[in-house]
Amino acid sequence: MSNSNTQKKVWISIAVIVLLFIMFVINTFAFISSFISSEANLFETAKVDIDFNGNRPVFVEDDFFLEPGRERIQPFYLRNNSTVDVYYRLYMDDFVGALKDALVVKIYDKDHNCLFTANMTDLTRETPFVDTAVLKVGETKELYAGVLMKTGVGNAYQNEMVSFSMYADATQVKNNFNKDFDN
Amino acid sequence: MASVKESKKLRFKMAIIVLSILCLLSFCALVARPIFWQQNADSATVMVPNNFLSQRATDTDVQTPSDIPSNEENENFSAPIGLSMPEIDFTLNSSREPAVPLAGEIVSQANPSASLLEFYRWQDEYNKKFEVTNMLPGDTETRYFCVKAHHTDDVTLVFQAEITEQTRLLGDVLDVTVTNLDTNKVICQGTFNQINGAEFKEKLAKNTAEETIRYYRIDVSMDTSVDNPYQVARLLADFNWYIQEEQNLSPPPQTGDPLQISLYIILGGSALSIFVLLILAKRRKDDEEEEQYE
Repeated sequence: MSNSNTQKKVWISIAVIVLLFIMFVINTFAFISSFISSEANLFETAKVDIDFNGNRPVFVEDDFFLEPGRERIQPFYLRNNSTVDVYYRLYMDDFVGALKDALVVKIYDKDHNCLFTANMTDLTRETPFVDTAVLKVGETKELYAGVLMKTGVGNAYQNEMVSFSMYADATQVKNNFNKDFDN
Repeated sequence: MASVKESKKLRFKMAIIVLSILCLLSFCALVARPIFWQQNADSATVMVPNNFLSQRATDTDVQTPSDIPSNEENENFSAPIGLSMPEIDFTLNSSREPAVPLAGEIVSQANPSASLLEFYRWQDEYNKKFEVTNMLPGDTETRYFCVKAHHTDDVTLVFQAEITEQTRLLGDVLDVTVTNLDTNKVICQGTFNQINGAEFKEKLAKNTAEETIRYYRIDVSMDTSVDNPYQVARLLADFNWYIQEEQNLSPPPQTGDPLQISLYIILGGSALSIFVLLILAKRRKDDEEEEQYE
């Protein structure tokens, strides 16, 4: 029993000596060595991505029963899923139907302050609504889109319809003083 | 028998104590070295040749590999919503072999003692590697490197960038510019994929001090025209410096370097301690054996 204990102690001592020796060698090597290679320099690009109303349409087919002077308002949201702050713009495209000429589009913030008003056909990629505010990383912005039928358009648009696509683009805030989305 | 065991035990204990002390001393020296340099007045007032924030040099000064492929046109970095980003496969840049063996290999052959060529002043703003995340079009990241070579004759200092990993061919749109701050000359300019593995050389003239210190600025930038496919891309690269004429390298002078001296004192003292302890242990063992016989 005593003999095996002694043997165990000897092995432990040897292990400690070896370990200490290795540590000593490593320390000494680190001390005297120098480097001429800067290794593993890392470059990672950012992600620009926003969630526009969960990819659901803002207006569904049943929403549109308009008459002159009547406005239909629908809520939607934008969430910044990017790794950086972004600007966003909203615009419409793919118009079908003559009713588009009789409609005005409005964008409201969550407190129902009107941020933007234009004829529906004027809210295009070339002339979009660009918010001056920055959409921060992870921020969700609640907005409202209003569609108003102009008064005084007469009966010319009875039984007319319109369908359209609504788009949101995001672009980086950094290095983008002109809020450039297309360059 | 018992005394032999005791003696063995004692020797093990002594070895453990000695090695512990050595470990502690070398560890302390390792920790103390950067502190020492940091506190050194010379490093506290780092003088950088020419201007840190100089304009990019013109193309006329630039060395560029002749077989550089032209860059494709890109659009912007904005992301239309509702349109998913095009999927581009993760691509390793394995098609391009480095033009020369790896820098580390050359150096290890040419220069068994790495102090013949070294990164110098790594304790301050120099020689810190790039760790850039969330890089956007229009960004420029800068690092400074200081290389010190000990040489007895004219030598050629070679700079080489080597991509070790990249996704989405990010190396096509990340521009690298290496500027010698002593002369303000651009020694290397191009995208990572263009300069990958290429050698960019500079002559280091023989001098009486038998050493040359060179300051370099490396700018890595991404043009504002870079498009969406390069989002969430990643690139890893090594920046290597090495000397071609290994026979002209010389060991650094030993005098005047308290760190080298202290290192040798530590090593010498340690060796002497072990030697003395072993002799003492041997004598003690002999005495014990003599006593047993008597």
